[in-house]
Order: sequence, then structure tokens, then C-alpha cells
Amino acid sequence: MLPVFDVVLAAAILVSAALALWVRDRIAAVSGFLVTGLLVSLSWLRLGAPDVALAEAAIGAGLTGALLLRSAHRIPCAPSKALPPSLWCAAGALAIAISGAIVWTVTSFGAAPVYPSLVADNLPESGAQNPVTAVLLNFRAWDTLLEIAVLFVALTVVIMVAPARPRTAPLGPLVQPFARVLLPLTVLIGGHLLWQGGHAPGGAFQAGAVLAGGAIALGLSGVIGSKLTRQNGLALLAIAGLAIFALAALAAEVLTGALLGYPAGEAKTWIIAIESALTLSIAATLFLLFFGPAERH
Amino acid sequence: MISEYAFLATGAGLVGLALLRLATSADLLMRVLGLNVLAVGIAMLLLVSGMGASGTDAVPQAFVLTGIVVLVGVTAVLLALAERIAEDRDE
Amino acid sequence: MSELSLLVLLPFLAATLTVAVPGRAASLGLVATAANALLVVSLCREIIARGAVEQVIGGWAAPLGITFVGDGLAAVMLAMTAIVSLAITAQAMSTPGRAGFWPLWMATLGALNGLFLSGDLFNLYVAFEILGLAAVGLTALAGTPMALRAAFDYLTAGLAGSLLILLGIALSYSVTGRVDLETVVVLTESSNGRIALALIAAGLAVKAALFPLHFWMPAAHSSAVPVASALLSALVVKGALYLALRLSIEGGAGAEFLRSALAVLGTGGMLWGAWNALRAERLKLLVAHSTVAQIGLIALAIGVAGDPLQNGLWTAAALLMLSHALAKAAMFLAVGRIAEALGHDRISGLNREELRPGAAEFAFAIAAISLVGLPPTAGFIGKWILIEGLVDEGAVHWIALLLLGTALSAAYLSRVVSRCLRGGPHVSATAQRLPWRSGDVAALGLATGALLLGLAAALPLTLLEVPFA
Repeated sequence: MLPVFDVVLAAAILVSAALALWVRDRIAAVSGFLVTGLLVSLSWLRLGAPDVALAEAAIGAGLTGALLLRSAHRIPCAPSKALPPSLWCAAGALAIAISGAIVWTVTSFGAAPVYPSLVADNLPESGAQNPVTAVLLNFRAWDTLLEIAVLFVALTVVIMVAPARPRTAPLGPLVQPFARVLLPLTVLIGGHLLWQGGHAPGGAFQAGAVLAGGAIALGLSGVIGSKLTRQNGLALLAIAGLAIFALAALAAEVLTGALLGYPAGEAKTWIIAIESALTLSIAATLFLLFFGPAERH
Repeated sequence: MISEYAFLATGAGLVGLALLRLATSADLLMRVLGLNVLAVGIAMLLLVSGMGASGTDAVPQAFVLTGIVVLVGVTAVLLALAERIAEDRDE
Repeated sequence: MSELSLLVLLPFLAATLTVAVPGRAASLGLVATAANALLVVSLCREIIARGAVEQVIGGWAAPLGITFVGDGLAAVMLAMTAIVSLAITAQAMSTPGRAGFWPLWMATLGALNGLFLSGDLFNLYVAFEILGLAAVGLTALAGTPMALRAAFDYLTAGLAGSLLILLGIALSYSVTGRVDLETVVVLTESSNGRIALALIAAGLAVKAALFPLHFWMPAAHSSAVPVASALLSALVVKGALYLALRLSIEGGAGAEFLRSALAVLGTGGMLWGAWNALRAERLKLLVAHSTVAQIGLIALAIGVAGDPLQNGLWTAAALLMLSHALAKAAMFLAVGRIAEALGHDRISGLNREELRPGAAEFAFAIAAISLVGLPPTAGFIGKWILIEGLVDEGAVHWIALLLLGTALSAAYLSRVVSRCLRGGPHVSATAQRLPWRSGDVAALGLATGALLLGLAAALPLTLLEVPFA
């Protein structure tokens, strides 16, 4: 039964992606992309990757979808020029060739991944029981630090480019109480995801995304609107993630002689401290990426 | 086994679709969408390649997570630039 | 703390500080670039004395963890970045700052240092994303509609390039089960591994603006503010060229297919860039097209050098990268000054009667000597090593193409130099010289540095001879 489900799911992903890319209406295209993202995260659950499935649903589909919806109407359609059929055929042939090459490369015999046994052997010392968290914040924490640097640069550029702020629509009295429940709820869910990340699917990125998602919903409804988003404190919180992570990396080197090498036995404490800082910083960054800078220069 | 092939074909198909769209469209929003679909396809390939008898390899999972976060940052910048280009054209 | 950790982390810490304390951004930037230069000097001394250094991050050895590899090639690239950084910082301090410049510039520096030291393919991908995003921010700094449009095109091209790299990394993971740099030699052994490598190389070609994937570059490099253009042209494209050279070294004999492709595309770029530079009407565009040509020359040098584990011809490519970085940064800074003084950058309008040539014009002329590769510049020594090696192999056609490229570069650069340095009866008796400015030191210093590098070429060559880790 399950293989049938998987095949249907796989086909549905391709169809919705094709719709998202070729439909003319902007909102329909973005909705298609959102649906694709949700179906993809479902497929990643089936591929045994709940951490990434959670991240794809929250960030890949959710936040990116929100960003795209925000911009869909502000970016005018380019006048569609009809491409000469020969060019179309060439591009199509090239795309099919690349897809074919990918399938051939992945299916032909390859070496077994070297990582699973290494991860399993070193997991007890890593300070996290969830192997994905162990990889992200210990074994390959340098990748994660650079990834935080990407978010930092993205925020700097968005603040510099300064597009117009999204319009907020005040909520009706019926929805207000609901909105007031939403913020504490996202804080609870975010905190739970962060804590759970040590031993079960979850972690700083998913928690940060949930927090940011709740805050964006409230920001759009005007509940926490202009006061919060206009303050510089939020921007400082956003950049603090990179600074804290970099300082922690150097502090660990002072203590143990290895960059990002946590002292023996204390890895768990270090990871939780770094993750908590990252969660808040990621939430602030994602929120500001959506709402833009405090004021235009 | 069937599931694995289905998802592999999906990953490769998403890459192909995205590349085709990127090559044939001059529309700013479509380019952003195309690049995002391309990234999703690549992530799918990483996860399919990481599947083994004892569960999915954690390292490519971490790669995909990193890739998702990087991409949301880049997408935000792309959209901010596209909005400013549209505004400047209107003025 | 080791030099390597500080090299990669100091710029990022400085970047966050420049956002937190914007009033002090310029002095913070100066401290960070100066500290960076001192760290590079100390690292180079250590490498010459004791050979390549390695640092295992977090105590987790590759392939599970990530390793920093500081060998001779990495040290030369770090030194190139450090020298250009000092000049860029000096120039930026003397011109009114734009919000966002310092954090983006510091992030660029950190990403470049991280890129040159990284020994892991996926980590290189993340470093490329920082570099690409910061470079786009620097392009958009000018704020003009043209610059914003160029920035958008730059980012879509750059993202497509890095996603191709990521696709290649995903395939190499599926073929070899790992992604550290040592996997490259395994990849060259099977045809599906070579597909993965080819995808990575294609992504790098987009990022390096290698012909015919350079379409995004002239607009981006010519519409940015002068400091940003200098950075983009001198350093940012070098990140991708460096990785191409690194893949050629790691792949050894098996990477010959990559080198053949690089040689062919490099030749195309050298000729196409030169042709466009000859026809360009604006000075900035001429310099940007000359970057396309010079990138072609460097790719050609990597391509014809043969297996780096067998012979030392590849050092010519590293030397050309170094020489181009210094000379092109000097040239963009000088062009910025010339355009500012004239109020335009039309080449036909460079023949003026009321202005005598000043520091910027001289800096341009000296940088042009390096780019053409006349003795005693490092560009000359690079081409000399290459031609000598090609003579031994009897590869006459490559020598002929190299000489053709050199002649063309002399032709398009003399279009500017002949007009800039015009004196005699054409200049009126009341003509004035541009007032001297502290920022001129940067352009002149870099140009002179590129010239003198030829006399001191023994130093980078000694470093490059340190065996790979």
C-alpha cells in the first residue's frame, strides 16, 4: 500500500511544481509552490528525515511562501515574449539530458556513505542524541556558523535595499483574542521544538522559524505592528546570533585547543546555550527579512 | 525500492523542470520560483542518496537543513531587489 | 588561538560590530584588515618554515568533520586578499561611506578567507553563498536602478551557479559517500563521478564569469561604486578560479578533462573579452570586459598546465591571479577617480585640455603594464613560466594564442593610456592637476605593488612550492 502512496505523492509533487512554474496567475503560481513545498515535506517524512521535513514545512514552504505572497503583486509580470520553438526544444532537450544524467548517476553503483557509522560511533560524545543536531552543532558546526553568516549578510542587504513595508490589516474584534493566544502558543511550540531537538526531530532552525511565523502573522494583523518592528533592538538581536556563535567557537578553542571543540562532558550545555541564542536570533532575522528595515534611508 | 525510485525521479524531474523554466523565462518572480524549485529538487536527491538499511544518513540531512535556511535568506534578498526594481520603474 | 581560526572569525566579528556601532565602522574595518594582514604574514612565515598547516575543526577529523588546510596555494591567495584589503579599506575610509558597506565588506573578507582554507566541498558551497550574497549587496550599494537590476541578475546567475555546485556535491555524495576534498580524486575515476565534477565546474564557471557564462558580469562590475567594483573584479571572482585550480590539483591526472574544458573556454573568454574591450565606449565597461579577458587567460593557464602533481606549470596560474588582483583593483579605483573628476567615463572624452594627468592616470598606466604582462611585472613572470613550459611540450598553438591575447590586451588598454597621459601642445597652458587625495595612495600603491611583485616573485613562488597537505 505504501509504495502506491509514494508513487502518487511523487507524481503530485511534479505536477504541482509544473503548475507553479507555468501558470500565468501570480497568486496561483505561489500557491502551487506552497503546495509543492508541503507535499515535498510529506515525502521527506517518508524518506525518514523528519527534521528536514519540519524545516521544509516551516521555512521552505511556510516562510518562503509568505515572502512570495508579499511580493507577488508588487513585482509586475514581464511581457512574455514567445520564444522561438527551436530554443524551446534545445532547452527542453538539455533539461531532459540533465535529469537523465542525474538518475543514471544516482542509480549506478556507488560507494556506501561513510558517515552513518562515524556518526553512530561518535554520537555519545557529541552532547546530542538526535544525530542531525549532533552533525549541525558539533561534528560540522563550522557549516552552521557560516550558514548563520549567510542570514546575517541577507539581512544586511535587505535593510540596505529597503523595499516598501508590507501593509498590515487590523484584525476585527472577533479575531483579536485568537491573535493574543497565537503568540504565547508559538513561543511554547518554539521552545518545545528547541528542547526536543536534542533527542528528537526539531532544533534551533525549526523553533526559530515557528517563532518568526507567529510573529509575522501577528505583525501582519497589526497586533504587534509598528512598535516592535521599528526598534533597533530587534536588529541587534538578529545579528547577535553570529557574534555569539563566533565568540563561542573561539572560547572553545581557548579551553580545548580546537576551534568549536567543546570541553569533554560539557558538550550538551554548550550546544543548548548556542542553540537558544541561535533560535532567538534566527526568529528575529526571519521576521526582519519579511518586514524589512525600520525606516527607509 | 519502488518508493526510492519514485522519489529519485521526482528529484531529477524537479531539477529538470526548474532548469527549463529558468532558461525560458525572463520574468523576475518566475526566476525566483524556478531557483527555489531547483533547490528542492537537489535536496530530494541528497536525501534519496542518503537512504540506507539503518535509516537515513544524518549528514546529508544536515546539508539539506543548511540549504533550506541559506535559500530563504537569498530568496528574501532576491524579492527585495525585485520590488525595488519595480518601484523605481513606476516612479 | 591559531592564525587560521582568527583569519576566518575576526572578519565576521568585525562585521557584526560594524552593524552594532555604525559610527565606528570605518575604524573597526581598518583594525580588522590590519589584523588580518598581520595574521597572514605570520601564517606565511610559518608555512615557509615548517610546511603546510592543518587544523581539524572541533577535533572531528575529515570526512565527518571539516579541516582547514593552509598550504602554499592557500597562503598566496590569503596574502593576495590581505594586500588588496588594505588598499580597499584605505580607499573606503577616504570616501564618504554608504550604509551597509562595512558589514558587507567584512563578510566578503571572512568568506574569502574561509573559502581559501576549507577542505570540504559542502563547506565551500556555504562559503560561496556568503561571498555571492555579500558581492550582490556591494553591487546594489550604488542604489541606482541600473545597479539594482545588475545586482538582481548577478544574484540569480550566482545562485544558479551555486545550486549547480550543490547539485554536483549531491551527486558526488551519492557516488563516493563523502564530500571532503579528498573525494575529488575518487570522482575522477568513474564516469558518473566525472558528471558530478563537471557540474561543480559548470557552477564555478558561472561564478568566475568564465566565457560564455560571463553574461551577468560586465553590467554588475561597471555599475557598482568604485571600491565595490575593485573588490568584485579583483577578489570575488578569484574565489571560483581558486577552487577550479584546487580541483585540478586534487584531481591530479584524472582531472585532465576539466583542464581541457578550461583551456578551450579560457581561450574563448580571452578573445571575446578583448574584442568587447576594444569596442567599449565607456571606461568602466572596458575595464569590466578586460576582466572577462583576464579570467579567460587565468583559466587557460590552469587548463594547459597539465597535472599539477607532475609539474609546476600551474604556479603560473596562481601568479597571474595574484598579479591580476592587484592590478585590476588599482585600475578600478583609478577609473573611479577619473570618472569622478570628469563627471563621465566616456573614453572619447578622456582627451581633455584643461586637466593634466594626475595620480589616478599614472596608477591606471602602471596597472596596465602589469595586465599586459610587460617585464618586470608578476604578470610577465607568470606568462614566462607558462610559455617556457609550453615550449618544452611543443604546444605551439597555445603559445600563439597566449601571445595574441597579450597583443589584444595591449591594444585595448592603450586606447585609454594614450588618451590619459596626453601632454604637450594638446594641453592648454592653464591646465590644472587634480588635487591630491589620501585615497589616491590606494590605487597608486596597488599599481606599484603589482609592478614590484615581479621583482619579488621569488616569495610567492617559494610559498607555492610548499607541497600540498
